[in-house]
Amino acid sequence: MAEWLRRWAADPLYVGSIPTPGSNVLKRSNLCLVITEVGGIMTEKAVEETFAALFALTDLRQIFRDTKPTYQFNSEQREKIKQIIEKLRQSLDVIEKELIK
Amino acid sequence: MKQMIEDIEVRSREELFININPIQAAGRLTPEAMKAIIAYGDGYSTCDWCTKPFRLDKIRRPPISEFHLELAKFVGMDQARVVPGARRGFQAVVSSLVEKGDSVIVSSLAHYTEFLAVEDVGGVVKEVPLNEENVITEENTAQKIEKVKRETGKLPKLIMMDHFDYMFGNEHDIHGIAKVAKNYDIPFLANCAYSMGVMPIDGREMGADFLVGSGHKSFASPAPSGIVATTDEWADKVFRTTQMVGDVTGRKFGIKEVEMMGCTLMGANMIAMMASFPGVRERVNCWDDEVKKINYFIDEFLKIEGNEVLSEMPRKHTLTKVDTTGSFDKIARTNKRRGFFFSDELKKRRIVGEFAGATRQWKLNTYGLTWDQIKYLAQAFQDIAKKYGINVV
Repeated sequence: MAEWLRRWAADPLYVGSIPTPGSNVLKRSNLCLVITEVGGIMTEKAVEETFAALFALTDLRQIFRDTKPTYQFNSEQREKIKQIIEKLRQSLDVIEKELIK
Repeated sequence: MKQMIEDIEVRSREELFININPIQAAGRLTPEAMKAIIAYGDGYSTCDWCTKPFRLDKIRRPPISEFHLELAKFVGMDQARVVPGARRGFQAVVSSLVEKGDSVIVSSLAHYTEFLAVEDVGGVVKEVPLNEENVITEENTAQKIEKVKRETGKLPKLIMMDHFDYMFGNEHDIHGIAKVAKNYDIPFLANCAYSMGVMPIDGREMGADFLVGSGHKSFASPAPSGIVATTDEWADKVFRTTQMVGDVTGRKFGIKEVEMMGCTLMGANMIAMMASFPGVRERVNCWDDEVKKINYFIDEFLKIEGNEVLSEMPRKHTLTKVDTTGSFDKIARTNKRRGFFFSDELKKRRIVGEFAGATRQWKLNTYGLTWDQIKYLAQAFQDIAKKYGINVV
């Protein structure tokens, strides 16, 4: 418990010490609420979508790497590009909604 | 956007060009590793969940501890550690086994960092000569050991040998050399900087006591990163923990491993390696296709009159040394841009990574290129040759 408190004091995003994937899932919504109530500036959702957008762009980067220097996309790559762009739009929508209300 | 910030340009050559640089090919990141760098770039990012016993390879979130176990299994050894580059792997082993004045057997194509690791502890390197095909053999290794024994009155303390060398990308008789090492009871380190992460490696089957790999050369990881793996027999020696006690404070740091300087590869490099690992595990099974691709490229390359290949043939590795003295160098001799005409022509065709200005002996690496890119590359070389009147048969 002392370890947990020490870490909580050092890092407000700390939600547990048991390194089991998903162990903090239930607490995430509470965490989001806490941040919103305390700060009210930015929600966890906007941060999540920022990462999601960066990761989607990274997938696009990989398509460039796979198809350089002619960039002749096959149907699978075209489909993937569409999905990436769609994902980016969704993420940007969320970010816009969350940050510029 | 050409600049990331003032004076630092965006590095987009992997998105814009086919890059045949000999040392960069297999270190190109997977998209997963690129994402890891985005998320874990902050300094001590791996330390968020570092709890007792406070050592990097014991951290379970992210699962760094599990990764170490998987890594050892992947290379067929009992224990593995990640290190900041293969060179730190050589250093850890050499520093544990070699003392001042001891001899260490290395290849005549050994990487310079093997020399430095030996020099650092006051040892002396003894090189095994190459045979006529630029390969290190079991026989030459045995002869060198005998020579060292005769001259110094002692057996070498360690044999370090490259699986594939950096100069020709030739395969050396690692199994035979391991056998010789066993016969003389000399520990054997296999330098797998150009093989671990691109082709299946099994240290136990190889007969190695130590394996060293490079993250940034062959494991789709950022620099510096590397791997040192060993057997349970040697782990206590190379991964020994500190016994030091502070004389004033009485402090001791018992869990920290001396050769690893406590924690090794922290932050983004560690997580990027982990993120690439599933992809690396898959891609080693495609090595045969990579070898087919380089051999296809070389067949096309040799259709250009005057071109030669200095590496062993047929190719067993994607890293290859070529000689264009009889072709592109002839053009360079009278061209106002000298050897740079060749770089200019390649760049026009969106190809980079050759040694700029070199038109005699130089190296290339086709690892990771798709078949379309390989064919494009072969065609580009032939197009340049035709443009300058070199015969393509």
